[in-house]
Amino acid sequence: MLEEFGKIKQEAEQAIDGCGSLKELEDLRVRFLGRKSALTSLSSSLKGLSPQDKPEAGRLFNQTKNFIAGLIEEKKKDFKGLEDRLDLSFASEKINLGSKHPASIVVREICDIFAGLGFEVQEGKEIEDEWHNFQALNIPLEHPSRDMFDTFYLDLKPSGAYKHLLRSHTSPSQIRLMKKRKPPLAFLVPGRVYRPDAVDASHSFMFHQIEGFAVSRDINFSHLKGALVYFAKHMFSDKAKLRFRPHFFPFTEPSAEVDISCIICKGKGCSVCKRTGWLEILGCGMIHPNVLKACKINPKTYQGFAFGMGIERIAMLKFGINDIRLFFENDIRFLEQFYEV
Amino acid sequence: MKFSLNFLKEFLEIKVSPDKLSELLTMAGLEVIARERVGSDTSFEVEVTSNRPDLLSIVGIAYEASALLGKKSKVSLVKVKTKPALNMPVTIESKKDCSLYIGRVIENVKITPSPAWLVERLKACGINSVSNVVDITNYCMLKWGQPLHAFDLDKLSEKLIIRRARPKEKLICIDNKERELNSEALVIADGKKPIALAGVIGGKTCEVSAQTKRIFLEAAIFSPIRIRRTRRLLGINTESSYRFERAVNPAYIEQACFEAASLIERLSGGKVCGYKKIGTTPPLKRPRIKFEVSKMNNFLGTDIKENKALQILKHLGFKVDKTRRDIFIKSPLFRQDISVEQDLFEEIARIWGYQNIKEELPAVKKDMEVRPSFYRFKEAIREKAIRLGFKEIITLSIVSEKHISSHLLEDVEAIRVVNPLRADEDLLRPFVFLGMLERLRHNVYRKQRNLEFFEIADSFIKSGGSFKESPKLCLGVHSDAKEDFYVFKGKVEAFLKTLGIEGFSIQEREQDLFSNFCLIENLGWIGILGSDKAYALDLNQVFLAEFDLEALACQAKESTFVNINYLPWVERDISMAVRGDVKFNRIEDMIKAEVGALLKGLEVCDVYKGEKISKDFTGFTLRVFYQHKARTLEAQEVDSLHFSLRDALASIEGVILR
Repeated sequence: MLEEFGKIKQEAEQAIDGCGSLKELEDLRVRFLGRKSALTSLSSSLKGLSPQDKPEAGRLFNQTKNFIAGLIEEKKKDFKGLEDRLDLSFASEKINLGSKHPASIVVREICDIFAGLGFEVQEGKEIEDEWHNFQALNIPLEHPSRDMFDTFYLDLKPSGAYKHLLRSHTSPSQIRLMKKRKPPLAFLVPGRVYRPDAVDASHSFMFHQIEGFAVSRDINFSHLKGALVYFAKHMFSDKAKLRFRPHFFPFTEPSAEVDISCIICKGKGCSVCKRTGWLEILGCGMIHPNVLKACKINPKTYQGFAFGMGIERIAMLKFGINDIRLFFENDIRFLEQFYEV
Repeated sequence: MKFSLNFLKEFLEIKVSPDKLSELLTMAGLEVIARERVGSDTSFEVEVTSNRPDLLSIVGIAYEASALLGKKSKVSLVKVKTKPALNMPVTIESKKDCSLYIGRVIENVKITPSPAWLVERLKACGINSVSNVVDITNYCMLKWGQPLHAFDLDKLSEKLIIRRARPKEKLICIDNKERELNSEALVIADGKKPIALAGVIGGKTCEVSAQTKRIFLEAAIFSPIRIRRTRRLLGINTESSYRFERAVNPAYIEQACFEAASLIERLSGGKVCGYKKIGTTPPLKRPRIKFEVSKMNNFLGTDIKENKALQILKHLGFKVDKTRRDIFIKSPLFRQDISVEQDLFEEIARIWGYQNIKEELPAVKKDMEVRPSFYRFKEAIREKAIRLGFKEIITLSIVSEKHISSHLLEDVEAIRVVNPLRADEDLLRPFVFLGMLERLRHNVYRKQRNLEFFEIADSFIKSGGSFKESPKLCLGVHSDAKEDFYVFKGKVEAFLKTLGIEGFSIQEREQDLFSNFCLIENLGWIGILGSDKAYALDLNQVFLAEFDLEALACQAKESTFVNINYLPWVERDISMAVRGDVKFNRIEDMIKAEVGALLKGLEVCDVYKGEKISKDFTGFTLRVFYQHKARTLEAQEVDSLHFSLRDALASIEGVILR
């Protein structure tokens, strides 16, 4: 009996020692300790032993079982994680993701911020006519104030006396909305605009603008300031400071240009802000009564504000892009740099 | 525009630093964009907005600065001598073009360099010194805002007409350029020919030179629109035309002309010997605007006291007229930009300081109306494309015709830009995929090969006497493997599925530029660029698809839940070789017809084309999934169905089962 146990122990020890894998080890466990193992059949034959021999045999049995189980546990350590071991530092697969154009990222962010204030987003068509693009906005067709809005004209039949053109700002779409909807209203209009400017690092003949306007019985200049400060804090930084400078636009009165404290140098002065500490980001003002009248809204009852900004300019400040032409070059090495956080 | 600080100080005591002055002017609406020291002077460069022509003169800026500094500006007006009278005939053809014309003759002048004080003044205002007489005209223009012009009187035949140019008349200007004129241009002419472009630039023949002995000095008021048209027509812009276009203040024309003549006498030794004035000052607006401080505070969101508001207006030159019930404000003559009460609110607000107006959030009232936003839909489309791995591009809407094949343009009428930046780039693109193709080419040229792009943009065509602008989605892929087309097609189908669009019909078609092209109902199309076009662009495989977003929006459906069928299904494979001319959808249709409702799905695996198979055959394995809606299928049921399916497939000519 003793030598039976000894034989099993020896066999097990040898087999376990020479074992090459965790799977093999598991097979060995089944072989030596499982239901059909030699050890188990021996244990059943223990029943036929005499009362004097039984305790000794039982002890031997347990000792053998524990010995083999112990060997197996020890051997397991040899394989600890070895089979599952990979070189984690090995080169990963390059994953190509889809992405949003940085101009679209900025438009979306601006729309989301103003949605928080109750503004709805609507778009308009890029082809417009002189009435909506100029006349209705209090911009006379022959006046120096028209020079800042030079336009591309199109070979389409005029709408009455008004020729067709590619809109030079998104304001005409504002006009169309105000003609259709009566106050109170608050809209945001993003979109492509066109100006025949010579193309360089800060100018493109096609770019994106977003304009917002709100009209009600009591919206006033302090609300304009508040809405824009709210926007700047959410768009750039909660420490952003804004400066409102009196300016002139034919369609607003009072008008202002809005500067933000330079996000690069935090107002100390650098090459980006030309050492002034301020960066111009927006134009705005209270909507001129002539504009409201053109939309058949009574300026004696209603008043409102409007603002507009160049999307590429905002994106260039936000992402540190230094050349507007990159937006339309669409080099994949440019596009893959931008993601929404 | 540049102005000299020392010049300004002649009219106003300025004790603040140049820094502080810059800040005050900027924050009240006259933006100082640069400043530099010029000798003992400081030159300020300002951006004057087009509604404030009064700031195009030193006296105008002095007035503004005095209002900001709380001081009074001293502009001393002298008594203007109008004798002796000038005998020379001067005629104005049209009052509309020129309302007032003043001429003075100064004889016995000596043209010499200007004294240092004059040269410095001009330099600090950004103007180069020429000679005493010319410099004096510029000096007076800078001071009063009234452009003046000096002619060599001996060079013109002794009569003057202010008239429109005749077609084809020519003029060599003092910039040595000869210009051909037409009837839009306003000229100063003598009895024979034009001698100057009125209000814009002088002609070379009557230019003041070192030999000039007699001067004719002009001060006039020309129509802003006429000057604008003249200078735009001829592509010139001068300090003179700039001021006329914005309308000069007629109040100073006599002063400016008289001072210039007096200075010419003093600095060139000449004598004034004639004065002529024809026409009258043009009618000026002088509205009387009712002012209510409560309305203003309601408009600005401020709490400014009435007497403070009125004080600001008075400092700016406005007249306050209090009746028993109301207050009326009359604007000064030099402020032709004031017409409505909001103009007054702006004056008060900018002097009060925009920075002193509080910031409050607007309370935007919502209403119950449901207004679907197409922008929202576009954003959803954008997300879908991104999720499928496409990168968004934004390309230019104005293209060159040479990038489009002439055949494509036959089917549609493209809209043209009348005044393009470049003569050959003048088409508003009728197809969005043109931009996609260009950018794929651009990136491949830069050695980037695996590209998947999308763009959402409008396409433009003429339609029924008007135009049609439609929002489109364009998908584009550049690949080196033709089989990748099926990945692209898979993405297109996945995209449509996320809009609830499945089971759409396709229609193959011949299409110029494409080797394969098919329409997807009325929603759009998908195609592979023809290899000759691809080769011409140095591209390999190019897959394109374009969708009309409005059509998609019409057909799009919200998700609806369908119960999951948890019952087990049975898979059976069929390996086959199919000849090139047998289309896959024929096999697919046959399977659908044979298996009917028990068809859970179909998969293609192990596509093989190579040595082990005949040349125009493709081998693949079809995996057919059988599932019943209500119970577990028995193997025998499937077997018998599958065998009859095999038979049906084998019966198709060109299909060989393996």
